[in-house]
Amino acid sequence: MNTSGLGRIRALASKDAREFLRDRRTIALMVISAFLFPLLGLMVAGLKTQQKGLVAINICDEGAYAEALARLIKEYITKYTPFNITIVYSVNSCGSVPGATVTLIIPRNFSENASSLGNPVIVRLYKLVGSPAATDAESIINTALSVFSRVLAAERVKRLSEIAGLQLNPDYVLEPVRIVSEAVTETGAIAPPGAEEKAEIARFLAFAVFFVLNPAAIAVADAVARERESGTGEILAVTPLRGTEFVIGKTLGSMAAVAIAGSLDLVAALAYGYAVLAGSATPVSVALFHSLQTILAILVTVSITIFATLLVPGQRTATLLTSIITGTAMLIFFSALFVDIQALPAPIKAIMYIVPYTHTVLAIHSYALGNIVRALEHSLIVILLSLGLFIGSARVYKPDRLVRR
Amino acid sequence: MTNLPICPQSTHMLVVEGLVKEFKKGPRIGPISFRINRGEIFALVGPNGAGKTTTIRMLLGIYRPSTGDIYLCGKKIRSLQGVASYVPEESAVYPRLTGYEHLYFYALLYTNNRTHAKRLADRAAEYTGLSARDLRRKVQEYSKGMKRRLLLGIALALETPILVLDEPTAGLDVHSAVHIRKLIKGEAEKGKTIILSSHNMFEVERLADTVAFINRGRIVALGTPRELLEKYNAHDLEEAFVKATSR
Repeated sequence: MNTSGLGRIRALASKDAREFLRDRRTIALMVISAFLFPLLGLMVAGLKTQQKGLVAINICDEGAYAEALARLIKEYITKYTPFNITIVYSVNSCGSVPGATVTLIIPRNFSENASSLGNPVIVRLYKLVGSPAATDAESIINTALSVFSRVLAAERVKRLSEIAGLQLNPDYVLEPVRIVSEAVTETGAIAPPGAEEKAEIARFLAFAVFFVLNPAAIAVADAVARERESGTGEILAVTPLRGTEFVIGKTLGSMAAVAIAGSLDLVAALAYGYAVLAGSATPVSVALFHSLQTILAILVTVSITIFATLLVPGQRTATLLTSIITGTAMLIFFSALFVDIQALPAPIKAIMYIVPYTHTVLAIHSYALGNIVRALEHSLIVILLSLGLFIGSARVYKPDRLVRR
Repeated sequence: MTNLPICPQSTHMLVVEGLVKEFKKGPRIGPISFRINRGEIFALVGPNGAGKTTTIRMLLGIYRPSTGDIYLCGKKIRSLQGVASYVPEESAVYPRLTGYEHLYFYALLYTNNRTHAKRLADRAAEYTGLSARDLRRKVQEYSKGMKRRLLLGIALALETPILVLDEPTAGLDVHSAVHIRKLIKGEAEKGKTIILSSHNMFEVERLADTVAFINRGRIVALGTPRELLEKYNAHDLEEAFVKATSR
């Protein structure tokens, strides 16, 4: 390529970058996507703790155990939910309380059975049908009940051991099997302290790539398709600009979008560490590597977009392509939150490996866990794929691809 | 940058021989043949779908011709890509760039020298007839006429030997159309070869040195406006065109 070619590339790249930087709506969308979507996620989680409801405990037994259980449940409900709680003493009518989200019935003879050595101790629970708040309340009551149940069990073991004349620790009778767990690396070595937290951050960060990828993909697809749709491509096709120069120019022009996305991502990645892990900072090196992966993910998106829009030109292709990219990216990045991709069966893994974003996820995971070589291998795959697609784009370029018929 | 080539006197600036375009879907265009001298204004006239735009696109290298040859100053070339400047029928612009940024962008695509590009953009700015204030505004605020002037300004300022214009004054107000016709005439007098397509017979009659009537993908008549009027015993080109295409 001669100096004229470089000049033309620079002209096209600078024109595209200028256009992008003046597209305030897309930039605003990128900022919103980087910060608002995670906040919305946290808000949804937060809303769960704001549900109102009424938990009623209907005590039909006059013994001390019934009082103790009611106190424990009240303590748990008050501690973990903003639900109102009411305790009703009704020896005669022992049923559900009208208007309550959940009613716990402590029946007659509860204390007598609780103080026995072999009788079952039964409580009854009525919950409002179709209410997630009732399910949440039930879950907390179950936790309180299991604590209460264990206290009763320990008392029974103690009394039995006294009868048998044995010295026993009730804990070892009730939970004889204990687990001592340690985190290890892939090589089997003990993982360094904090590795689990890092992995957790990495999983979330890999998911976070998606937030900035989508608006950037739209911007780049639009930059290529718009030349054809607006008619400017017809003028470009007649200038001395060659196919390779067009592809390189468009790619370099998209760097403005890439730079903004990468910066936003870095800030957001550091912020997520605090927000998601309640004060645990994202290590700066992990955040930086994550931003690099975001840049590579956008680059490969740019290369896919340019290749596809040159192969099958048109705004509809660009829109469809953006939808496919967004859908695929969402699938991969969302999977990364819950699935260990490396542990999947070979055929599924092979299919996922075709998608470049899988390598983005794996690179971030590997880096966070200290496996730098593997992280670089995955990064290299993304780089090589991008290069291959750029070369392919230059080959499929024809002037008539920029022109509407 | 391509400077105006000096062709030997006996040689035409542009010779088109048997240019044909066959589409998988759609009608066949051609064979198209004509010759144009340096400084000549050559008009392609025909109804919608006659093949004017396809002929222009074949010349410019946007479409690869199925058969046929193009010669520039006697030398066979693939197309006029990079040799001609072009203003398509649609005033396509980048809405977020200013008027002057447009001129400078296209100038940079034709020269690798920034100073020269700046000079070309300045000259193009004069051709547009737009004020300095207008040129600093984003093109999304421009009227259709202003966009047209912008594109024509840069096409005229670029030192290409050939200028191709597709419907140069379509949809413009009278003032803009007069301004643009003056510019076209002036550039031809300076030696630039101009190919234009138009529906406007009045414009063609006043501007063109040579007129080609094109219908159903073929040139049905070719000559100076006077020759065509005489040949078809017509009062004006419109009448001549009707007679030529109804035979």
